[in-house]
Amino acid sequence: MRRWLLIGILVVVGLLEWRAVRAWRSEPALWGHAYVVAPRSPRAVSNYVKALIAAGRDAEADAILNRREP
Amino acid sequence: MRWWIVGLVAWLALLYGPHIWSASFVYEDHQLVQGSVPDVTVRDVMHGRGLSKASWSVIDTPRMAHLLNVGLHLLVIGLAGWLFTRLAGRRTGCVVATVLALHPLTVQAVAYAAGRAELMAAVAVLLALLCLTAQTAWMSVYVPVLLAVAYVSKETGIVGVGLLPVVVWLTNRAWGIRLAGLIGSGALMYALSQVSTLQVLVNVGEGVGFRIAAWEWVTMQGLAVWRLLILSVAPLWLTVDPPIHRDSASLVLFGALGMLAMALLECAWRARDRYPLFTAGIAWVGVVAAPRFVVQTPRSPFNEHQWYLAMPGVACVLVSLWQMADDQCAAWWGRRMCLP
Repeated sequence: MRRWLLIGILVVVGLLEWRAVRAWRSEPALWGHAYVVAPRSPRAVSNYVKALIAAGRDAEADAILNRREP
Repeated sequence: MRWWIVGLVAWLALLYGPHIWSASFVYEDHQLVQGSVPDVTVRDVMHGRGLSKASWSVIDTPRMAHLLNVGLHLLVIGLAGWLFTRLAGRRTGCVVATVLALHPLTVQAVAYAAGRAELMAAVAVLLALLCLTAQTAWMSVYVPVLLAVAYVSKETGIVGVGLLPVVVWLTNRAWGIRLAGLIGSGALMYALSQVSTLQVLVNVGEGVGFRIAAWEWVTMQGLAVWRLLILSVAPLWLTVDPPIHRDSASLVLFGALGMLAMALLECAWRARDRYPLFTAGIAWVGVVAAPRFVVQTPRSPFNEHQWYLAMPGVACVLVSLWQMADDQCAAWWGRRMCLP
């Protein structure tokens, strides 16, 4: 029981760390993650859209901008 | 023990291997690493970025930059494990090293190439603390030199001066020549801080003279510190863009959290005899956070990579909380949890 508790904590923390490292692999991934955490942040939205356009993913950038319209 | 170390190194290789291989420069990496000119001026040294700036132009490809960061992170884990083994025993050292290796809050400093400066400062600060606590007292003469290295790596290295008394208190050793190391370090840091005003120590892109009202800044930083404290326990909402705002709701929240902070400090003080590691951990985190309330960088409140040097203190607090929970279990049910 005690050992499983410790193993469980290590696995959960390890997965969170894995996810955090994945967010830093490229500009779209970084700002995409920031957008997921804070979708109302103007900085996250503008940087995510810029990163998507720079990566040639214009359709996704359009979708993000359209989603923000009331 | 040996297998535990091998396991941690294997985990970090598995975690950061793909990142080293394929990750590109992001965010301010382009400006810092690729846009850096090799000339290091006296101003760079005095403003706490001379050594790191010198390193940008030497290692400027994404793969090598990420490899260097992971190598420095491994060094920090080893040094922190060594320091806390010396201060509080092998088990504590092992757990502190594990927390540093596994905690998601360390990721920003390691995976972000521009985090190199934080890692270099952390290496130098931990080496200074190891010299201070060495069996051979003359090692203390290296303390001021290493703290100066920490400072010229990143201005945050200046907090090393405040960490010296925390570590000395935890070791509870005779002062003697160590006191000379402390005084020498304090004098050196004071001299460095007087070369220019503290307000000039600004982040890249901040712009000298960009200021906001002191109360607004303290509110923002207070909320940023609380965000990082919460992430230290529950690292679920990590982001490069922390949602810290300047508004009236933030001020009310800051007031409430300020009272909570006072209660936390009171707890740390009361626990100093029974759980000295908890008190030392809270003091460590406080020392790292305190200068951030003075130096204004309004476009970037206290964020995750700047928190890197606080992580050994966070690890101490987490170890102590586990010990407290364990003691409570023993008191209530007569059984202990798995104590690390």
